[in-house]
Amino acid sequence: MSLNGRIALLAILALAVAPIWLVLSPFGWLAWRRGRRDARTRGLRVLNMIQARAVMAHAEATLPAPPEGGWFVVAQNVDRYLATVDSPRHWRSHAVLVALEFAPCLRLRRPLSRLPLAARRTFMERHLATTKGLLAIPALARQLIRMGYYTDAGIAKSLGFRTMTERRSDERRSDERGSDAPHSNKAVG
Amino acid sequence: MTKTITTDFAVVGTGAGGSVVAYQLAAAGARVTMLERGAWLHPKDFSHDEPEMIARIYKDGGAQTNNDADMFVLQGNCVGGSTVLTNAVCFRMPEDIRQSFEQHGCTLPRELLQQSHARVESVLGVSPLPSAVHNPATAVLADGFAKIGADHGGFDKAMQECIGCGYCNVGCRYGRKLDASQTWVPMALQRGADLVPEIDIVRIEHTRGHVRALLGRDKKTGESVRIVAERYVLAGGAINTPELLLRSGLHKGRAGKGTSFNAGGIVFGEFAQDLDGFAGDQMCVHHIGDRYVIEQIQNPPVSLALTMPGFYGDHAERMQRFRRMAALGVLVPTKPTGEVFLGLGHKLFRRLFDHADIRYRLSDEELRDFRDGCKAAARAMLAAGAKSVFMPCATPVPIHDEGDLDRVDDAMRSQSDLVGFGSSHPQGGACRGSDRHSVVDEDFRVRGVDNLFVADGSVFPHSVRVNPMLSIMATADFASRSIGDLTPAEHILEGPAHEHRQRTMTAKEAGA
Repeated sequence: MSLNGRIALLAILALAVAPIWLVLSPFGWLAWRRGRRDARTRGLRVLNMIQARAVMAHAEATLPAPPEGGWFVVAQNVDRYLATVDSPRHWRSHAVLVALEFAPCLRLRRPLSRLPLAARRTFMERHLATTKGLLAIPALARQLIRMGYYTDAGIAKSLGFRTMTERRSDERRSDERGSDAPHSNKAVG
Repeated sequence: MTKTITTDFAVVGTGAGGSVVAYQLAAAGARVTMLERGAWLHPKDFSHDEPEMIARIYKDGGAQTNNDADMFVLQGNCVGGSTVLTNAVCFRMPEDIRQSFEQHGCTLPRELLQQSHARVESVLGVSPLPSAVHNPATAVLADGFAKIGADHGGFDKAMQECIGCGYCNVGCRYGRKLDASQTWVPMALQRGADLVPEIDIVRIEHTRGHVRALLGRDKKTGESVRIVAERYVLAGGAINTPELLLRSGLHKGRAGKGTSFNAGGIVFGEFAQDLDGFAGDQMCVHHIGDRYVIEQIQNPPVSLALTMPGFYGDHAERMQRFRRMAALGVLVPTKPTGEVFLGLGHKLFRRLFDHADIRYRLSDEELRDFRDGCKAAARAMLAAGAKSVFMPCATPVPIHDEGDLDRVDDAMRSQSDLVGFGSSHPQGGACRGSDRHSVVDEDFRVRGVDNLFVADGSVFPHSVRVNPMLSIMATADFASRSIGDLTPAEHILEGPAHEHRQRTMTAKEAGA
């Protein structure tokens, strides 16, 4: 089934439980408004705090160590990316992040950011580690979060990545010593 | 209020096709207006901040996928189009592909195509990538190819004094990559053409087989724009050109059909020693097989993370071994079975679905070719000394020696089993041919419309197998003959590559 088809199916399912939505919607609306206000206070341009919390919860459960500024940095980076994109498909990324937060609710659990770390990890590995079916949708969220995490300069450095500027100064130092650095470009024929 | 632009030739898109046609028409003295959805960025506007650049210069921020969301389709969204995102790899259109095109009615006479190739190459300054900027994983992978007896070689690239930063795919901030935004577009401007960036062309207004105007929207001001020209050239690429035809009610049922790709994924090899593949040009060695192409692609951290297979813990663990990773992309030329279309969402909820949909599934044969390509890449890596190889699939398949490769077949049985599967080379969708069912006729004219032409990769009846930038530029150069009723000058003596050659020659003479 196509992605649009899956979204349509979700919409039909949502309609089927419309009375519940009707009761919950004022609370949802209030929560969304509050989330948006909090997000703006914390400097996020397009993400709602509900989405930012999902990003942080996901990142904390699946990535090795937080960036120097904490997990919120990942949400900030995702926000920066989403604020720059100009696309008619843009809303999907936002919808997927909301869906990520509430995905555990479909299994009668608390939202992702409210789950204890171990339970969160188990949930994701058991239910979201797939490329097939409806649950493949979080793949987009995974990619956004990876993007937000690995773009952090400190994280990239911790992997051993050296920027062009660092490499150039390495090369200069190596030239000054009169020897080739083991992995400088010059060493490769 | 609607702004009106009047010109002789309106060219939609400034990528590999549009920029070349615009230059040739302007050089012949015509009034040309180039229209581009994306922004015009100076090299100084590019940075190594991957998310920001992906958001700014990739269509849909790199999130364009097929309808099943199991294949990404990457395209540029800036002046210069996808040429800005490429690794500047230049392959001439293979002769067997040219012949096959001819059989499909898409005739590109050998002599004339060779002339077009040569002209384009001279503008792009195409030359072999110097070994001084090879990344350190190159020698290791070349050794692997040699050990398994696979022909391999370096790349000819459109670069000028590349410094090997390893960030080609987010635009060249050093201005060393001679993409369309550095060559054809400024050359066309110098010849008097106009450029209107950040304009969305939404519809072609036509009556009785004649285009009256293009209707667009200025993305900065929101103002409606009407472009009136003598002739119109569509060159927005293999997704956008058919989309615009369909939106305008032209060739419904034909436009968008016959879309093909060079589609593929990346095989990663982990070595015992640090390779630091990021420290140099991303693509330095390749192997061209009969059914697939294998090309090295060393990515910086974010792009590597986005293409690395694995879900949670295993993905993070692999990323920790970033320095030890070598990467080979496997590309399969697909049959023209894909389709670009306007889906139900577009018709019912245009506000949310204001884009064309892409339908594509790998056939069993193509999937087999892709698996075989992945196995060949894995063999080369194992021969080079990789201790583990990671296949682009969801099911973890630990591969430590050749015997493990048999397990790949089970793990990669359908497209949805694949991870990081996609294409940066969509082609077709407005196929050129001699039969009346083709969208574009032999003069590159949209059938049934006397002043509308197509000059981009969408005219290809099937995939060109190799990286298509040069083939598209050469085809556009050839197309400019019919579009502008002109004969291109044999040599183009302008542009940055020409100036560089002049400078080098002067310096040599001074030295002598």
